[in-house]
Parts: sequence; structure tokens; C-alpha cells
Amino acid sequence: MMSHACKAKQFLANESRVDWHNRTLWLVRQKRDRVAAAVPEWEHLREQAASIKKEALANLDVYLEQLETEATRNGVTVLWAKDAGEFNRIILHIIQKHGVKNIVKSKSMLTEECGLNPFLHDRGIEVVDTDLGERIIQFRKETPSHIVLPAIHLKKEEIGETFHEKLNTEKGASDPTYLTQAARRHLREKFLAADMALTGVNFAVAETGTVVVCTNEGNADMGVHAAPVQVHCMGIEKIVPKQDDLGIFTRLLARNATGQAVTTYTSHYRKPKPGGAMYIVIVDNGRSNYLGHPKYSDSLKCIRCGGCMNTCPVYRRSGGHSYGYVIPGPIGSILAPQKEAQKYRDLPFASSLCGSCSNVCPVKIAIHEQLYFWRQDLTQQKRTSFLKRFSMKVAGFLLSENTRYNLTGILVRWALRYLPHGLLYLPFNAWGRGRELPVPPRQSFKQWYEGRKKTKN
Amino acid sequence: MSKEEILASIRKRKGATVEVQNTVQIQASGWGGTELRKQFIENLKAAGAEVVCLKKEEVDPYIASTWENVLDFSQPEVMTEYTATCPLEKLNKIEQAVFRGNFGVAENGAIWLEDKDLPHRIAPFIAQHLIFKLDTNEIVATMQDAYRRMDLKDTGFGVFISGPSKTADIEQSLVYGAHGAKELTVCLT
Amino acid sequence: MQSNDKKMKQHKIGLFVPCYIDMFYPRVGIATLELLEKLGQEVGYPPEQTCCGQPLANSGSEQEALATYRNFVRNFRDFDYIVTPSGSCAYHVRRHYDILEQTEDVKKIRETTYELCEFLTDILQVDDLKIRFPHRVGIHNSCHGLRGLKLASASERMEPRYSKLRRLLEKAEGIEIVELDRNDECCGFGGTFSIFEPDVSVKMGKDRLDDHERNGVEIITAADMSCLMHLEGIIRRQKKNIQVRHIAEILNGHSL
Repeated sequence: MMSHACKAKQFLANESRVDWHNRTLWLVRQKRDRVAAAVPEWEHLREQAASIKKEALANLDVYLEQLETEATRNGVTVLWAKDAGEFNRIILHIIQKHGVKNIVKSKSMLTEECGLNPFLHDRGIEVVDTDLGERIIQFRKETPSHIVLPAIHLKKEEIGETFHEKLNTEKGASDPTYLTQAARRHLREKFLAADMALTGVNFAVAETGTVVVCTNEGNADMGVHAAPVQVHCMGIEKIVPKQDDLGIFTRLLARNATGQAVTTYTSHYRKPKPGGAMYIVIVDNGRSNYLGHPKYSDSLKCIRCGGCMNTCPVYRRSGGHSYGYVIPGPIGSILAPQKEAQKYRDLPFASSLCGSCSNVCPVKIAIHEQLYFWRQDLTQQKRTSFLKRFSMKVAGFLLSENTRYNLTGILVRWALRYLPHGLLYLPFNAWGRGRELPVPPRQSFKQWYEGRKKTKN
Repeated sequence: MSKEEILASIRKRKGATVEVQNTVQIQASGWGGTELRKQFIENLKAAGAEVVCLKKEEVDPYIASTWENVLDFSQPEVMTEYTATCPLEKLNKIEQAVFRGNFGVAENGAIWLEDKDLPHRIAPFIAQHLIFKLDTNEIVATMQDAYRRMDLKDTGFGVFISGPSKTADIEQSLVYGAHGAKELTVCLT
Repeated sequence: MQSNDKKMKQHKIGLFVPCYIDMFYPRVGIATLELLEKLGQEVGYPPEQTCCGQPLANSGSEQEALATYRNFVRNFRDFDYIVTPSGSCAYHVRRHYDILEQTEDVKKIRETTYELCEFLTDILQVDDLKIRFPHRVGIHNSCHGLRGLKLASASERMEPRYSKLRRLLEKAEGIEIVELDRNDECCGFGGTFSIFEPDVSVKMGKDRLDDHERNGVEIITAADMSCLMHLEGIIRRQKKNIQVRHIAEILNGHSL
């Protein structure tokens, strides 16, 4: 797999596109700042949300069983999947059991994580993604580049081109309203014909057996209420203990995600519709391995708002696809190595550790600290490049003792002064690609201080 | 089988019980009746809704005179016509749908609807234009107040709706009417 | 230039001059030393000091940095305070020396290591510097100082706005502190991030510079020379008409 740095370089090749991407996401961040500032108790809410999640995770088994009990009482079938394979098989089973032909799906990062669409595709079953952004990238056979704004990497002209091809819109038309209306007509047909609706879950309330789904488009509701069978897919960490907890989380989620006071629709599904069937599928897929982990368990508090992507100065300039994991950006970079440390070993290094993500996070995950911890662990597991580890070992040797340190300084200053420019700026000098090296002073501070001491005495 | 495996894995690793701090009290300073109403209207407009302030007796005449094909789901005869078994093709023809909102939330303009208000659950989503009747006395300050007020234990489905359906998935340009209602009007009494 | 009329309490200070400042920017170390001395402080410079170990640890090689950490502890255990012109290094000692055995020395060092502006503000409570700096200055809020040491309020957090750097700079006569479009975005240095992700790093730096340029900044200042080294590298490569100065140089009364 190509490294983050390589893919970032490709994305950066089109600088005006990068500037647009950066500016657009920064606008979302600014909107978030404005609506968050309008809530005087914002920081308290974050504190409270973090605390509720922590407690929920500490008693996760109890709450999951409570959810199952309550949901079952409500006439809902609860199913459990320990990994992606089992999850996909469960969904296939539901499809076969109900003789489902047409499936509509609203946004669910979990189904992306489990590879549900390709799994069903291989078995001749097509799933229609109904979130506009998701539909766009589904048409283009791409993956989401952001968990809340899946098509943020695309320009309207590209989307117009895709819609011309797939939905027969006018050639060259790229007006967002026109394109959205075309998608509305196309997807409304799909909703009316659907016999099964899949959704993700934003929150599952143990106390009442309710699953809550938040959308702006209304696609989750169009699907769920149109189709006789509704299936809600959740990771084990989506639990909140009480209905009142939703008051905290719904105040934070949309504000932090898109800068809206709330999503247009906050839907609470509790019982199947008359004559319909309702399923909740609870998925582990590796999550429980990190419960109670001294360094990484907090990552399970994530409510998938995407706020850390919008604020991340690296993400905004490298694009979501540079991460190569289903969830990009800072939170993705700490979740990915939990899944496959070897494959995603470079992601914790794809950060300047500026810490903005942790400050934005509505459930106060110290993301940048976990990035730092992953760097240590991946290095100790010898997953990082030998050259890097070796050079750090050498640096550690040189920096740990005064004489060696001083000699290094003298050598470096000498090299900077006397080596020809061409030699200093050979291609392997990554610093020199876009920057000049510092102008070496005649003496170090240490040498100056020695001299001063001598003159003083 | 998998359930037991998952729960066993959780039990093996979960941390100690953590005490949850007390719920943050909402700073409702100055958020009396008129302030709630003002906030609610502002936030509704920000969410793309239109707000019409009327006296109670003016609402029905206003609705009747403004829209031609309006269906008022607060009327029992309309409710019985569009039950849960009503075909989608018929529901798909709804132009304007009127509902009585249970209550509104000042901080974000959301209005709560639940099963008892809905003939077929899809009605408020499939209609092209959504119209709410709401009483000013039924506005709470925040979502925290809202959840304390409702009892989901009695209902199978409930939804907060704040403004018309929207998307910004194409270049972050805001477009109303993604899948749900293209317009939303609140008649506030 | 004795700065305060009332005599300031004298502390025994260990000056830590970070490795890259020692090697490439001695003038910043000198400015820090002179400033602290002018403020009546007894400043010692342990001659065997090297580095805080951060470059290794941020690259994932914390274990290789342990010997460097121990050298730091050995050199700085005998002071009331350790002061350094680097938010990043101060943060590293405070936050990440937790992997050392927490002896009395280590605990004390983690508690008493201060970034310069923080020390001037919180410990010395400097309120007059008698300096003049008639220039348009842009403050670069280096991340570890900002979010780690809380030298200023971070734009992400909904809390009262403050900035220790700004408060100190405002004491300079004639200074004009310029508002930026993005007050605290990272410059992209990030230690070895600048080497292993050079393209993103340079782009971040260019964008930061554009912000300062667009708003008419003459001098960019910061509490971390590392960010300024990165920005200066881009300035020189692109031959931009803008300069960088560590805040210690301005506070010590250096003119351009």
C-alpha cells in the first residue's frame, strides 16, 4: 500500500484543488465554532458527554444486554455479529429470509468498514446508497473521503459529469440544486420500490431499546418507513444508557459536525411499523479488544461527528483518500492500527501532533496523545522502517551525551557552511524540497557561553 | 453464540465502573417565554423554515387560503384515510401535509412528532411541503429539556424535525429538498 | 533597563537552550539569558546539557530518548525553575517524562520546567519591559505551547480569550499586533513530520505565511524557534519579504 505521504503528494499536485478543499472544510470548522460559542455550557457538555461514554463503556455488557431485552420487548429482533464476515452473513440471511429484492441504505460507516456492499454485490445483490454524497461516490465506484461529507473531494463539474452518465442530466450541467433535484427523483423511485432499508445508528438507548439516526436529507426515514423490513446496524460502542443522555449528545453532534444547531431529522426507531420487521444488528469487529486498554480505550467514545477531520490541518491538505482507511483523518489514524497495525503503520505519523483534533472532539478523546502512543508502539513492534529506527538510534546516541552532541553540532554547522549547495540539496534531503536549510552561525550558544564566562572571569 | 463471545470479550476487558458527573444545568438566564419564542423563531429560520405568527383562530383559515391541496393530519378523517396500510403511491402524491407539533425546541427549532400524530410514519417525510401548527407555550429551551419532557416508552417511532430536508453534499452548497420536504412552514400561535 | 520598579523575587534558574537553538540560533539563547538577567534572575547554564529528547520521542523512539531524558534530569535537578525559549520542549519535559522512574528529581523537574513567556507571565508576573518595537507583528501560536501549555486560548475551545505572548508583546512601544485569518493553525513543522511528510508540511507552512503576508505582517514571532526555522526555510526558498524573530529577541529589546 502506498504511504500516506505519497498519496498526500499526489493530492497536493493540484494545488488549487487543495486550497479549495482546505478552505471549504475550514468554513465548516468556522461554522462549528460559531454555533458552539452560542452554547454557554459547551465545554461542560463535552465533559458530560465524555463521562457518559466512559461509564457506558465501563458497563458495556450490562447496557448491551439491557438494549437487547428492551428492544426484544418492543418486537425488534436483535442479532450479534462478532466480526465483519458474520455481520455480512447476517444481513444476507435477513435478505433471503424476507425475499428482499430492493435494498436502500442510509449512511453507515459500519457497513463500509465491514465491506457489506461488495459482499452483497458478489452475490448478485445491489444496495442503493441514498445519502446524496454516498450515491455520488457509489456511482463513481469510489470510497468516502470524509465520514460526514463523503464526496467532499469532488467538484460539482465532476458530479455533473457522473450524473449525466448515470441519471441522464444535461451534459455540462453542474448546478448543485439541479443535480440534487435529479438525485431526488432518482432516489425517490428507489425508496418507493424498496423492500428493505439499512441504516447506521448514531445512538442506541439501553433504557428504552431505541436506536437514533440523525440525517439532514431524510433518507434514513424515507427508506425505513417505505420498506417493510428495517435493519439498523450498530457498533457495540454506540450505546448510551439513558434517554436523557440523548439531550447531551444531540446538542453536540450536529454542532460539531457541520455547524448546525441540530440535524434536520433526529429519528427514534423503537418498534417495527405495523406489519413490518425491525432488526438491530450489534457488531463487535475488534472493538472489544480495545475496551479497558490503558492507552486506546477512549477511542471507543467516538460519536463519528467528523469534527476532527474538518479541523485537521493535514487532512484538509492531504484529502481523505490519502489515509487509505475507511475512516480518515485523526480519529481514523488511531482506529486503523487497532484493526491492522502493519497495514496502517504510517497513519499515526501522518500528523503534526498539533492537538487541534483533541480540542474539537465532543467526547474529549485525546486523539493526538493516542497518535503519539501508537508511534511508540509501532516503533517498538519494529513496524516502522528500519532506516527511521536506525537513524533515531544514532540520534539517541549522539544527543544523550555532551561531547558527542557538541561534535555533532560542529559537524552540522561545518557541513552547512562549506558543502556545496548541490550536495546539501540532493533529493534525499526532504527538508530541502521546499525549504532552505538554516544559515549556520559562527558558534553555537554553548561556545558563546563558554567565551562569555572566560571574559567575565 | 456470537453474543456470548462478544459479551465475554467485553467482560474480560472492560474497565472499572466510572461515576457519571451530574448533568450540566442549562443556563436559561433570560430565557423566559418571550425569549424562548424569539430563539425558536430565529433557529427555525436558520434551519430554512418559514414562520408565520398567528392567533389560534386564524390558523386553519390561513392554511386553507394559502395552500390548495393541503392535507391536515390533525383532522381525524385524514388520519383514517392515510393509515399505516395506505399504499406508498398514494402517500407519494401528498403535496402539503399539516401536523400539530407536540412541542418545539428553542435552541435549534426542532419540532417533535411521534406515532400518535402520524397516520403512516412516512407522511412527514414524503410530503413535498410540511406545515406545523405549534403553540408558543409548547416551546422548551434545549434538547436536554426536550428529552426530560417526552416519554419514548409509549411510542414506537418519534422524530425531531428542524427545517426542510437539506443537503450540502455537492461542494458544500446548501440545497433544500434532498429527499424529504422541500419547504417547511410553522404556524406559531 | 531594569524592568520593574518593585524588586522582582530572584529565583535560581536553569537555562535550557534546545539543541537546534544551540546549534543554529544561538542569538535566541543569548536573548533569553540576557532578558532573564535583566529581570534580576540568577541564571545558570548547565554546560553538559544537550536536548530534551523530543525529536526522538515524537518519531516513536521514546525508548531511544531515555538516555537523553536522563542527561536532562542530571543537568537540571538543582534549580528553582528551568526556563527554555521553547514551548514544545517545555511541554515535552512536563508531559512525556512520565516514562522515567518518577524520582523526586524527575517530579520536581516536570513541575518546574517553564516556557519563557509562561515564566515571565505566571512566575515573574512581568508587567513592564521598557522596550520599543515599532513593527507590524504577527504571532504564530506554536501548537505545543498553545494547546499543551495553554499559553493562549485555543480557537477550538469555548473559553475566555487570552494570550500570554500577546500580553507581553503589547508592552513594546509602537508595536502593532496583526490579526490573522486563522489565529492558531499549525505551521506544519511537527518535528520529523517535516521530513517524513515534506509535501504536506511545506504546504502548511506556505499557507501560514500567506495568511501573515495577506494581513501585512512584517515580522512573524513565536515562542518556538522550530516553527520559525521551518517558516524561514520557506521564506528564503520563495524569497518572500517577511522576517521571523523569536519572541525572546523582541522582549529583550533587539531592534531589527
